[in-house]
Amino acid sequence: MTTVGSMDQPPDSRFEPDGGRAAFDLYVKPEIDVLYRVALSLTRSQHDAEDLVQDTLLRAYRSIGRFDGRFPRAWLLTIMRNANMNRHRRRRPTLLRDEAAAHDRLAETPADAAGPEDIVVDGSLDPAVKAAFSALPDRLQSVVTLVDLDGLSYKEAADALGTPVGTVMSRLHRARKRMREHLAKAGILDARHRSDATETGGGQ
Amino acid sequence: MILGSTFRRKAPNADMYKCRHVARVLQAYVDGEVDDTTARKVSVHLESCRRCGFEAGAYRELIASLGRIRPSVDPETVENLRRFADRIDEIGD
Repeated sequence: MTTVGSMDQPPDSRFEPDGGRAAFDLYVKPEIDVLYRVALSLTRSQHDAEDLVQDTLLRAYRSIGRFDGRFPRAWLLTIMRNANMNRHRRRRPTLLRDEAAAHDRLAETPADAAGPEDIVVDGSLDPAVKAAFSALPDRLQSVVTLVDLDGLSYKEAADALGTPVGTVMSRLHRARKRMREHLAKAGILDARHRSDATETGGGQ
Repeated sequence: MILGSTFRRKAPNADMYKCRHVARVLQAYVDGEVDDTTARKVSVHLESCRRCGFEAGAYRELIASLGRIRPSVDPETVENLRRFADRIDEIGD
């Protein structure tokens, strides 16, 4: 019997024998897109990311009875972080049940989903920002990816990385400042704003 | 909802933020991660301070650009994961 709580509805069919499945559909399935994006950020490999999401989904399904229904994304990101740590420890070859299909997919798709061919470049700012982002150390890139590219909140990024929220915040802010400095050296963004500021004055 | 209380203790005037105070919370403000009181005070400051307003604009442009360079994910992989989730009860039990 599951003990999944509900924010808006009284306990219903989710508490019946098939309740785990219903809760999984309600809380987990809508997060698959986000989970895959975060997994790509954590693993930097399409193959590993797919495995990691599958591992996360299995763990979530098996523990859905202990989930209280609140903040499913935070819960899932914590599961993913633990699953990722386990993967590093044990390095199992694959979790895919259909390995042949997996190999077919790998043959058809690039090894790294974040390849430059997938980047949408729009205008003069974006290539410079991409260069500034690429120049960041991995530790800062990870936080920028989770928050600015994947759209996670500070708390969600902290759950995914297993770090305090304050660490996410300080790394993110430092990373953006570095990118601003990088852009300023190239005469982009900062210079444009500085010339505007000169015209209008300001500062208190 | 992270930075408000810490910042309030250090503000010399609860009603007015100066540039140095805004600088400490500006990125969190742009991210929507400050409490309502702090957001309102920063907003008031930005209306009257061009320099901080430009800083906020620069961060917004940077963040918007990062959103545009976000790599696309392979839709087939996501679909595979959805199918995996659909038969999770067969796999996971």
